[in-house]
Amino acid sequence: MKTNLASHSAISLFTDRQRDPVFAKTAPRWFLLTPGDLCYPVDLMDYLFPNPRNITTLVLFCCVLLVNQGFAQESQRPFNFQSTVKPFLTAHCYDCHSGEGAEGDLDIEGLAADFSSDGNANRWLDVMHAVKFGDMPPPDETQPHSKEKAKLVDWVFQEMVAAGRFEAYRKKLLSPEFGNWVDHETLFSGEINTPPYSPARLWRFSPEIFANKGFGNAKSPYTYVTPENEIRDYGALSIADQSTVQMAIIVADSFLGEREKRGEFQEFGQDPEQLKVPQLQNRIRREFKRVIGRDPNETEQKKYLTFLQQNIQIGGPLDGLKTTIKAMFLSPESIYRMEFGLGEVDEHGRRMLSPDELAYSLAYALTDHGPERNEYIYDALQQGKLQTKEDVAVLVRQLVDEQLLSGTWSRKDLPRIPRFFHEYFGFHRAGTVFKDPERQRQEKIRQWNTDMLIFDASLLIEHVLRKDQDFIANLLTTNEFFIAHPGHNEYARERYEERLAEVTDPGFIDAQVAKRQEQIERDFNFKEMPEKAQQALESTRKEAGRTVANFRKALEQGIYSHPGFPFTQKSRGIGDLLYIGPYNLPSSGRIDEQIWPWPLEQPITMPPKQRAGLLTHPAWLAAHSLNEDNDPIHRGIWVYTRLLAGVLGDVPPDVDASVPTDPHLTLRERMEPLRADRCWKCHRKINPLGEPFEVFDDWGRHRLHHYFDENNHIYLRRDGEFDRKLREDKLTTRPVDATGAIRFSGDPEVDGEVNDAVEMIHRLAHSDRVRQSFIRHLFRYFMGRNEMLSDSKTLIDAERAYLENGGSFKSLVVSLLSSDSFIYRR
Amino acid sequence: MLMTRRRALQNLSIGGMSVAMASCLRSIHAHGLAEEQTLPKRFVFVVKSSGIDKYNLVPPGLGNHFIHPDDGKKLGNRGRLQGPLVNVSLADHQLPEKLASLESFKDRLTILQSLSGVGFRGNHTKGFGTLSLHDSETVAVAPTLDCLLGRHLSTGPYPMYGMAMNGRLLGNDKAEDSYCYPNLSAYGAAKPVAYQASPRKAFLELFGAAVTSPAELNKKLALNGNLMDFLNADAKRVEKQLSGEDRERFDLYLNSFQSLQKIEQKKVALRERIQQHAPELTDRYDETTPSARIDSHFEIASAALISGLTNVVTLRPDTLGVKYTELGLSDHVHGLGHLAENRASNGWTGHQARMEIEKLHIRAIATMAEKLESIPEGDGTMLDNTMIVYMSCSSGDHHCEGYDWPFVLLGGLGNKLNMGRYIEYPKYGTEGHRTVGNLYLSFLEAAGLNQQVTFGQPDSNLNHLDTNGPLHELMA
Repeated sequence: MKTNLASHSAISLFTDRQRDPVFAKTAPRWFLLTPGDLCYPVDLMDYLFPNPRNITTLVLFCCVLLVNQGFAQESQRPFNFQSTVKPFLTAHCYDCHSGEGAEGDLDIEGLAADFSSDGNANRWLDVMHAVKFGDMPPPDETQPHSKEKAKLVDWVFQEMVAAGRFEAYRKKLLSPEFGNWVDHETLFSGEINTPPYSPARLWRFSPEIFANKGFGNAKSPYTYVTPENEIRDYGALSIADQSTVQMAIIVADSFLGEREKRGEFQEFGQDPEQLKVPQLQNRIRREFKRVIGRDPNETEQKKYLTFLQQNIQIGGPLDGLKTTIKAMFLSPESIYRMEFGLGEVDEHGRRMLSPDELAYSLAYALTDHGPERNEYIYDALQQGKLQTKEDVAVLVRQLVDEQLLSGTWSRKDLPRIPRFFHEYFGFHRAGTVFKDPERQRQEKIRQWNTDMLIFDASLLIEHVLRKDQDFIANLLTTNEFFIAHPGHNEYARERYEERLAEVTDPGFIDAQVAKRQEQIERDFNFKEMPEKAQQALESTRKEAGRTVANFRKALEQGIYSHPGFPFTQKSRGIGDLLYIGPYNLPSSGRIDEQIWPWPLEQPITMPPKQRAGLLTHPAWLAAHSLNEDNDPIHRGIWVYTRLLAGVLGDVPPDVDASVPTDPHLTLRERMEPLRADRCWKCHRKINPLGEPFEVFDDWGRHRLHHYFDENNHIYLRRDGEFDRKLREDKLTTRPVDATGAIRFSGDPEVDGEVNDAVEMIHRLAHSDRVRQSFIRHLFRYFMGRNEMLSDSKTLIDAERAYLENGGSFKSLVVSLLSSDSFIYRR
Repeated sequence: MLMTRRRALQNLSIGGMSVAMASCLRSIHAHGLAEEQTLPKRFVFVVKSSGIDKYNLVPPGLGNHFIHPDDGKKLGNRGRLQGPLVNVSLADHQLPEKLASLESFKDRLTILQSLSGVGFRGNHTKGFGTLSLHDSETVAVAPTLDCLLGRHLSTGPYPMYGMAMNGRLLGNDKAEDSYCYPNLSAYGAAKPVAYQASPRKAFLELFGAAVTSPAELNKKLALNGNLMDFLNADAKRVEKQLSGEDRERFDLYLNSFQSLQKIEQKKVALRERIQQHAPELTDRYDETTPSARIDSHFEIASAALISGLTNVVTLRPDTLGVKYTELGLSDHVHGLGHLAENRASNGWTGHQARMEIEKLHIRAIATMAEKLESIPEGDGTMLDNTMIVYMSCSSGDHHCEGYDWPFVLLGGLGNKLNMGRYIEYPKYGTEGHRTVGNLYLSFLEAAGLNQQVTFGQPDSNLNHLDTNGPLHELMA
């Protein structure tokens, strides 16, 4: 967006206030960027200014820009290249990055201090990012002081502003993948006193909210533009443009077409003269309520009545009505959530959300419906109990106490809570990584049922949520898993006993055969092929016999036969134990002899040296794997960015993502070239965090050895062929190297070498950084935006609430949803 | 300035035609003039999934660098043999078997092999990166080639128009009946283009004017004008409360009413032409087999180009989940990609099955070319000014690494490109190797949009090579 700053009427006032040293220290930071606003909040880009005293200077510089119609002479700029930047570059960069043969082909000494071209500006940004995020100078070189780094950063941004490039850069940082770029230490330092708020905003309805609006089979016209592996629903990135409106028109046509077929518009098939005003008014009220979700006010009622009458005149009653409903569909309120802050203004100039706005915001933070569908929110609104911050805290507490886990397994009362865990951990994407069926067979995964693995992982989360003590650490370290279980012990027992009674009944086999007979007669035309029907019945008899035998045997051995769970409200359908291989458990089909003593009471305790929390769950491991192998790089990125709030620069465009193939080497050995200097400056942050997961294979099975065949090729089969080769001593083994290191936790007690993922996770789980990083991501999810430095108090309060309540997730939710960041707009 | 309803109605009425529409018609009627400069140019991108096999795209008699010299088996990604630039006339060679149905167009056919597009992610598809050449599998980060060309070339209501089998790469084979997002085209970052999956709906949207009475059409247009005016006024009320960034985003929504009206205006201006060239609306548009839907998509696309509704069409003839049951295949496209020498449900090997599917697409392309050939334009035909590009979002194999990305070009762009050639570039990284970016620059230059020296994300592994500018061998 172009900025035309020159003619702004608020300049003098603004400048005077910024000159006030008290204001500069205590007030939120403002920055004039857009002509449409009096001022623009600069907090969002606060990380740009690690040296707060420079804010006033830079603001003054921007005012000079205003006066000079968007351009300032270099001599007028507060940060001078020669005196501010060059000494830094000379001390830390030029040695390696000068002239021909400069490291990484980056000649910084020869790089003109000119931001007018894309190429130069981008190179300077690369230099700034490398310094800011600690990638450069290399770790073994003298490290510059943070104040020195800050000068370089300040200068780069000053030049970006002067070249008119800053706005595009700032917008890029609104995306979730740049959330961690806001300085972590500063956020939690307690030094920031700015009262928190969110910018007033339009927020396009999410696809999930649209799907619940009750428009029949209409598909959502909305798509997310955020990356699939990030928090998805970001207010500032949700766009409704021409293509969305076109889609919405198509959706409206389909919705109206279905209703017309059902005869819902019959009264509009008549002579227009017969349609009286009260009838039209009544219709408008009903349709408005249905499409927009509330009653129209008087003005709206009038406006739509006039519109409907015009339409009837142009196109007749039926098409006139349909056009009117279409207008409701396409109206701003149907497309967008609006959070302007219509409540009172406080002494900091922040506008509180009105009770109505609060009801909607809370409803959409926790559910995919408006407030009328949640009794607690609706009652609070009706009873006038959404007036204050305390009111909000009371309501959210009530919601999490009563509804955090309520609902059925597939339809939760607060569906946005489980969705957070999906978006944060990404385990729900396990099924999106294709695994070759032939490899699956050879590697002895009898069934690759990622839906079941994901369900099991969800039960693990619910279990930890139910305890709600030391939540983050427990979620990351628990070895209490649910496997092939509905998640409720009472129901599991009920179903088991029902099945036991059924199978041990003397008439069971005959009953199964009779049932099959009935089914054949009803569904298949086997009259002409009696022998086929006979075969089917025999096979049923045989299967029933085996089921009985298996049950008896299990009873003798004192183990529970898996009863199979149908799809009901109480449980997801769980057919058998065929899919449990990824847990290092012996699988068995419906009529196979059951080897694993399936525990009726769950959770079960998994071997503590093999499993520690969600990151060692096959669902997470599968979701973060490649088609044919593990994915240590993305696992490392996940740990670094999600648990350590780490920052990675943009992936260089020339990165070749493929790892060289060599059948003689393990994946870890094949990744050795990444330890070359050029790669290692980024990969040192991620590989040591991803490689400890080599203690699992890409199906999620724990392993201690790699096998190699006679040709010294890595041997991956685990089927009969593997057993034979092992027996014949044709395989050699080497221990898995899953060592790694934690280096960026900010805590010397946590940093250090680790032997494998389990050890690493135990070390990380209790660290301050991991707890704070989790809170930052939960903040992003609820607020629909990246944090700003001015959100510091919200985050610190949330962490305090969590700790003071024994590590309570519920308290965290209450704190964030009743925070100033959530309820104030500016 | 936004249009009032009255003005819109005046413009939209069938009897009167807006001055604004004159340029649109001028361009469409330019075929009456012989000057090449005034002739419109068109593109059709046919982007299949799962790769286009390169080993069976080499004319017989030429050295095949994509098969093993000993056993004749297909070589894998990055496995091609070294070899110099090959640039020969197809007139001297027999076409590869899978292109047999293009025999009569041999002089306007060019096969390009071994262009690379490396550095962007995607196991089975480069997604938006296919046409934008950015790391952009699922989220649009830059404008795609078809949208760039569409904005430059199209004078009709649609800058470009897309049709797809369905929107999800790994989706099932159930025919979608509405718009979908195949993640191929985008007007810019976060501006993905939706494709129409239903032939019937595409027909009604594009050629509705052909099956509607003038009175009905007038009524529809008037209602639509009233609706857009109402929404515009309603949205303006909200706009006043917005500031800065929100207003900028809201304007996208607000402006869409105006642009949607323009689409309707332009369609009205084209009414006669639409009526003349619209295909017949029949039940075949409701058939669900992939080949029937592909034929319908091609038929509608041809008619849209001929009517001047758009100058750029992108077609997505299959996705990984599609099952070509009419070929006796119960395996989906993805499964076939993994079969190799193993047998599919109808007894074909995986390689054979993939070739038969490509043949099916090529036949549809041939039919489209015949239709365009039958329409005179300037001194030649419409095909002389239309470039049909058959390619894949997964480069030259089921798993896309992008080292060898084949393209089959059919048609012409006013004699600006060398047609009737087989051009195979040297292996990735070796002297003379060129990239897909160079091909896209050739298209842009031929279309009169030649401001750039590079297109998309650069591949710095090729810093030692000249990767700027268009393909010299292709430019006439």
